Amino acid sequence: MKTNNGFEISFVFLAYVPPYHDEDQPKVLETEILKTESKTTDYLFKIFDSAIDESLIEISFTSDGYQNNTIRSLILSIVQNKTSASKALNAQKLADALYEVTDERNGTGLFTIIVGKKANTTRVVLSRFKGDEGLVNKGRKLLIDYMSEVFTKRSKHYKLAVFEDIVSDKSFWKGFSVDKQISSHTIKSISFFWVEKFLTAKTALTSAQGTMHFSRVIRTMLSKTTNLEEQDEIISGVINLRSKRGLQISVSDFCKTYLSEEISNKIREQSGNDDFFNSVFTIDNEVYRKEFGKTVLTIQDGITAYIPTFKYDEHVTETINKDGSKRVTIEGKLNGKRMNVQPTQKQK
Amino acid sequence: MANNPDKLLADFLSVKEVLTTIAIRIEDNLQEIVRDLKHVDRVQSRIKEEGSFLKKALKKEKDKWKYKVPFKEIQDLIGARIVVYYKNDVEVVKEEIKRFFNLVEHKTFVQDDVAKFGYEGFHMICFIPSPIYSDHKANSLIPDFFELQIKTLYQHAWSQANHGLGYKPGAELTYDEERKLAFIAAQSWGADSILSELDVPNK
Repeated sequence: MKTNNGFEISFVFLAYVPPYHDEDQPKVLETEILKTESKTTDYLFKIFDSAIDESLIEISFTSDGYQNNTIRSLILSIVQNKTSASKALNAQKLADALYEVTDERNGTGLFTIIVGKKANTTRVVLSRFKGDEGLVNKGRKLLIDYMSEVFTKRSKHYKLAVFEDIVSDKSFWKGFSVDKQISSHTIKSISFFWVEKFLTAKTALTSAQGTMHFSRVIRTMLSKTTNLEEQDEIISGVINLRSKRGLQISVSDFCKTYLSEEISNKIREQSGNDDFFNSVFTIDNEVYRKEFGKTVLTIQDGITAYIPTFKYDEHVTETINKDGSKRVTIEGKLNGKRMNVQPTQKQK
Repeated sequence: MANNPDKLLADFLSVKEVLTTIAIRIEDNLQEIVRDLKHVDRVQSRIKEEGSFLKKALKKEKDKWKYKVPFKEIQDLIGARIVVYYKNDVEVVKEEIKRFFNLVEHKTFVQDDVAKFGYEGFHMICFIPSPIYSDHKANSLIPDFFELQIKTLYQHAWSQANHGLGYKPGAELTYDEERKLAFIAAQSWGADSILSELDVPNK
């Protein structure tokens, strides 16, 4: 079997995965291996071909510190094993792992594994299509019924993870994921159930690293633009984001939520590559404060000034007086001036 | 499949410049991460020299290639080192690095035998973050990982001097040579231990 993009498909596995129930143990999941082309494979191969382009969130498997991760090892075994039977055995173990973390909220799902090869790289696509709860009680021909149900709806609600690498004992540590339930216009977390609980993976960018790179992109953008309105818009976005503790975000999300299309395009260019522009990370408050915090200047006569640290060198000049004390000069276009009058006792 | 030295060298040379760029970016990134930490002496990076890469890539174990896909399996093709003043600082830097990098391996090298002295240090195998490598992600010869070592000044001095002498782990040395290297390692270990006792906590 071959896909339109020229991948030679070696394995197509399907499993019906209901929510986990203690009393069902041990549960034998209904599975099927597709060996010939059909409408089902046509649909699945389209998803397989576009998996890398669609999956914008880079993920990496967690490790026990000794380069081990059970889910990755199963994926690697499917890829490395030559016979369909041994591939199926490990695929079954992956389906079991998914079953163990699936609860009623996640509902029933059709789990698929597709393996294909092109040139010297191998691609593995795992996906889970959510189906109607009613399918649970349809009887023994469940998988076939379920497949037709899922595919006739051309479900837009599926979770996917794609891993593509040269086969080696040390490869297949990184991949990309997408949760098609995520609306592209809102900031939402990636599926904890799919990425962390099932795949035992996490976003490839740590919170601290993502926040640091984000701040670098924003600060470079601010230093490049001389347009005060653009600067204000970006700074407003930065200030708004400051209050969103522990938020999962990407530069792309930040642009969509807080900035105009024009500035967003400039930032996209500035971020250097689409991978980082779309990479999801959680805001690290400590790094954010450090990168976008304020420097408080206290000078004589009880005067206090708050200056964004990343703008300090641009607007503040420090010189040394003859007596060794420091003198500061703040320079910039005045945008507003306000007298802060304390309310009197009467006004209270 | 046999590892062909000519092919390996040609492949290495084809990505040498990119590897160097990535190593510099990693070093810059690490500098930024540790800039506010006390007692950091230096941050440095390097890529493996071609001779050293070839030697490793062509290594055999029980008549079989140790590395079947050398560019994937040799994880210290790009290396970085953070050198700190005192032993107590290693833990502080280690924790900070874990906030910024996902890692697949971490290992503290110590001598098993209490009476022996030799190589010591802390190693991590970290994922290269996407903003650093992704311009080259289509190139399958670019590694996913880099090795980060965190060492004290004395551990660094010992390993640099040892490296300069051209001895590699497992090399056959005379009894006298081994004793001398162990003596230097013991001196370094002693200096580190005493300095740690004298060090004001890194706060």
